[in-house]
Amino acid sequence: MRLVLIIVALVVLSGLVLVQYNQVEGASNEISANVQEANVEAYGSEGFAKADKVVEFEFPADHGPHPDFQTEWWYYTGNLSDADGNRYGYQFTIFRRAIVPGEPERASEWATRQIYFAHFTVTDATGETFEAHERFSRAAAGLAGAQGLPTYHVWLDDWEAREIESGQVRLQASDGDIGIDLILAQTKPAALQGDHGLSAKSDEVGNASYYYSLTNNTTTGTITTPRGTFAVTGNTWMDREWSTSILGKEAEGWDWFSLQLDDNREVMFYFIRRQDGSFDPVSAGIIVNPDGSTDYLTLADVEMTALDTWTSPHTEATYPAEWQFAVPQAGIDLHITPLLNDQELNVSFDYWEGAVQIEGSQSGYGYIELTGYVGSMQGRM
Amino acid sequence: MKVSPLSLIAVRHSTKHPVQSLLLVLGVALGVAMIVAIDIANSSAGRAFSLSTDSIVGKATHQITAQPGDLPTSLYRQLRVDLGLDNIAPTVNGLVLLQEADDLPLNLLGIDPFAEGPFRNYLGDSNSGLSSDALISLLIEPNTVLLSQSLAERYNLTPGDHLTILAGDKTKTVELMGLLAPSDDMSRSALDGLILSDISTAQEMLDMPGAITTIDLILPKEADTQPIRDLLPANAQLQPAKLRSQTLTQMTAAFELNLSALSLLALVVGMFLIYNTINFSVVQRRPVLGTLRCLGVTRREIFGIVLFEALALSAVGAMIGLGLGVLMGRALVALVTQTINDIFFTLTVQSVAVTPFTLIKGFLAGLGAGLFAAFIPALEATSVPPNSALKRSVEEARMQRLIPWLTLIGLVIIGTGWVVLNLASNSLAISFAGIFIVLIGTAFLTPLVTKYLMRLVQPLTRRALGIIGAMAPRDIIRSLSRTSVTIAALMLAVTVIIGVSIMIDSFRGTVVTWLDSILFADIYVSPAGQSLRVEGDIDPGFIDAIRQHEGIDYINMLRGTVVLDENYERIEVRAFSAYPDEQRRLDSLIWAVGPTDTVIEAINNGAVAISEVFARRFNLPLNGPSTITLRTESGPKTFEVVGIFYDYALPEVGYVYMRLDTYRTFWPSDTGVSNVSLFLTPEALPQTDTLTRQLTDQYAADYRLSFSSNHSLKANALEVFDRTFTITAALRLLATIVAFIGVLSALMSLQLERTRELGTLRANGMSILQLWSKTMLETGLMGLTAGLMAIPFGWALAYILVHFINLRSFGWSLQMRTDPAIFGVALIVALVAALLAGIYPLLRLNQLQIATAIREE
Repeated sequence: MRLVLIIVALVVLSGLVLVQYNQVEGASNEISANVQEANVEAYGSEGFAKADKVVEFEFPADHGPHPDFQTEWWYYTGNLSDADGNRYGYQFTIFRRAIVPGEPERASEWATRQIYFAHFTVTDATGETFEAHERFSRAAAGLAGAQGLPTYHVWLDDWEAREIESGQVRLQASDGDIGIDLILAQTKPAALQGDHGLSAKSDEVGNASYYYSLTNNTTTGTITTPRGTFAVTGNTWMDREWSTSILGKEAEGWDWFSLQLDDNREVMFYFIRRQDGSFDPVSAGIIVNPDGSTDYLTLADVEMTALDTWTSPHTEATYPAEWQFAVPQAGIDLHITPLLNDQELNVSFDYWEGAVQIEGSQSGYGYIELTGYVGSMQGRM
Repeated sequence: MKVSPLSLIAVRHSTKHPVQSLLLVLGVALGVAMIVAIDIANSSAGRAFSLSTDSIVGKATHQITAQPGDLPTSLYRQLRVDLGLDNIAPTVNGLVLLQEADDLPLNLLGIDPFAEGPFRNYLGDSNSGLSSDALISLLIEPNTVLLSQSLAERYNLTPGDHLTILAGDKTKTVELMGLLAPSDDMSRSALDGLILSDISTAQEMLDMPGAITTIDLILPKEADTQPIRDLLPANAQLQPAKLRSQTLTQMTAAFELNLSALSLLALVVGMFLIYNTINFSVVQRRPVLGTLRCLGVTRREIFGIVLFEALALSAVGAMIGLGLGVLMGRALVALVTQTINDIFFTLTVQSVAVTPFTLIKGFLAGLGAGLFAAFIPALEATSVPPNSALKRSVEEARMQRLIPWLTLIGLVIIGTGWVVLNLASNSLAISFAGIFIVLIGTAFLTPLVTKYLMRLVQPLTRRALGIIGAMAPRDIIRSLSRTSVTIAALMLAVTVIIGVSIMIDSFRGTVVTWLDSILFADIYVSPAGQSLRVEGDIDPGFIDAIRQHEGIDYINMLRGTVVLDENYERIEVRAFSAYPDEQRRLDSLIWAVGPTDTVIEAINNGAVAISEVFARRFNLPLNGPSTITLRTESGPKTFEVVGIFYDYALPEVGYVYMRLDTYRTFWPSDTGVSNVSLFLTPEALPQTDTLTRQLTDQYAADYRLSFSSNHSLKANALEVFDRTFTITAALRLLATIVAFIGVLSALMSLQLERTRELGTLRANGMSILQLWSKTMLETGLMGLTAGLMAIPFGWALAYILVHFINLRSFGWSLQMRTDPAIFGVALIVALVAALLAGIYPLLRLNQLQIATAIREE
């Protein structure tokens, strides 16, 4: 679950245009200032559907958009290597955000009530480079959009994820010095998070999201880094989530783990950090077994310790940089290190999301997302 | 070298001679101030310029437009999604009238906020005062717009107001969601002509669903544009935006270089001043320096003392100059901006950019000038023999021997400058270097001219004033090493005054003649809001109506548009219908390629004429026939060029003149008329103004037109012209002030140096009055020499400015015209400056104690 992204989406979208332009100007301090000034009250979540009951997902229809809900994303993170064993990571995410519900009934094909935006990063462990790009678009005039039927397709400009045949998706994106052209083959059924895909955010009914993951997709293709373009293979994790909800007031940030282990199991866990330093009891996760079955994890089931820290030269924020992560009941005790310390996205919102290497009771690779380290998330709301 | 005790000598000398030190400091300060001020003005204007072109032209390298018609939205999607171009932005725009603003015509500009970022940044300003809610509303709510705050305030509009806009023949209601209040460095005036909306709203307002007006692109330098061209529909063109923005950049660069050159001139005059002052202080201290040498101080140390003194005083002057320059810069910014607004484009500078670079540059220029100017006097100081001071007479004798050599050097320098000017071809910077070389060369001629001029006037002054009249010219000759420097400084300043004045007069005269020829009709009709550079057409209904209107003898129609040449360059075309008396009008404008009547005959038969600037731009022959190939609606067509004419519109771009019939033959789908000019019947002519008002009342609102009479258009144009040169005049004045202070200090030095001589004269019975007459005569003669020399040199400078600088800056030939009065004025300025400069030393003369003055005799 990517609670963080709800916040990201709200914050980004509320200050959207300002942020967009200031980004061009490259003044990150002004971004924060604008984001802090941003008033999200005018357009609330009135009129949008809520995730308040368990529903049966249908694929590929549910890969497509759910316009009745305010926020939605298609979230790909993957670890790859080339023939020489060089390690790479990538993140490719497209977000949908509706400002007001319903379709506009207007003459102009440019008219819209929804915005798409996307984040794209490539990590090159050998070249020690990490590059992040961000794009925005209106959901109109064919510039950005998503569909589940007849075939799955989500795009923003020429960045896209497109189903090329059943169970295979092609990802294409490039900007600046980085690019990907990858084919993802799904090997496990969709793992439904929370209660059959209904992932509660708090005790309040309806304050939840629909959330499923494709945790194991064998990946082949090419990746472009400042060093060049390389043929790669590896594995990708994909998250899908849609909701109309707001985070609890006490949360300050999130540490989100998605780990792909060499015993063909995957682990997801998110820790919601509160202002007092403790973890919120709603923090949760799952284990996806080799057969695709899932085990639900609560905060009591996991042990996590940050072993080191890294201070960003861009934001001066201090992030955890090395972890011990264990799920004793599942025989999992892992030592996790980032491929690179600097995998901080300084886009319209600063956060850390990076490829990590896993050693210990199992080995493997994964992605970790750290938010709320650049000032409190609450302050920005 | 132990400087400290010796430098005390320099310090003590400076403090003991405060007036001299003050003058040196002032000279450096003024020179530095000019440099800093102009630098600030230029960089502030330049900054505002780039911001404002960002907001008008944007940073686009290319633009896709359609003519005739619009572009399909799907083209934009293809470029962005299929071709993957990310630095592209669509606009939908058109002219609307805002009812709440007294039917003010505004350009409704519809943008996609997500694509705009790299192109225009009206919204990019965090202090724009616009809430993010307003921006999101603009995006998703239909019928929402933004206005600039100044526009809203002028018409008392506030966010939330419902506005009525007239688009085409439809009235629409929109809601004002917010105000754009760009902070200081944004171009307010660019926004003042706009209603900004989301592209969806603009489409709905202008009733053009499915269509967009332009696509702006930022393409890499060597990008292959073929994939883009392959996607374009038949009516669309991909053009480099350089014609719009690069030309503008070049033009202002020329203008800014002009200003910088003037500021350098001030520093050069300032250097004369420093040279003079330091030199005097060396001369004055000969005994001291001689004594020091006796005490064992080495030549190197003496050299050091003098340079240290110059450096210290220059540093003080430079510091003061920085402060003064920042103050002056603030004032100049307004002038520079006004000029740029008038000639080039609308620009509003709200902030004054003072960069450390500017300050460092100014400071170093001051120190450098001080050191450079002090170098020769410092060398001279080292030549003081240890036993005694070198006698002044020895030095003067040397000066006399040097005169032929100085003259020769001067002539060589002038020759070099002339060669540089001719070799510079189109480089403005090198042309200016040429001017400087020539000017410096003229300064070397001063000793010779002064010497012979004084010999010439001596018999006259002797006859008029007796012994005093005989003494004064000889005195000047005898102290040529001092006087010639003073005269040269004054001469240079007056030369600049004359040169710039003649240039401006020639420019203005040429423009007046041109306006007389080009503004041939009595009343001009253009679409309202044309000043927004939005192409508008005149309603055919109006043309039918006006033909029937009483008092109208004849109407002339003009289609002004842009077509493409064979290389897809944008070519401005002015297509006129025939009009009476055309031959006489064109006579004064057209030159080359045959007599006017055959030219008009050929133009009637499909040939074209081109403006001088156009010919220079495309390297077409200026004195013979040529051809140009334009892309017509039926393919490329080669037109015969039968005439070239002077034109002072569209600097650096120029245009093609053809018959309206010719245009319509080859571009049949464009039947629009851009301007109509009315020729009145002889009876109606005296009532031109009344008729203009009457036509305005009758037609302006219905057809959205504006009417101007011939003379009001002309007056406007000249007003703009005069404003353009305000800055030049201001700089000219500053240069004069620097020169004046230079002369003042030089003369003072001269007189102070002569204290003993004057004391001797007084002791020998010369009255105060006689001394006054002698001094005034001397300074007067020096002023006269400077003034007389400045007359030919000033004219030569004007010649260079007109024939080299202006031609290279703008592509315009000007007719040189010289008003003899300017020479008289310059002469008077030189005389008055010199005489005024003589007064202070004379006042000191009154307090002269003879005994003190001649104590050592």
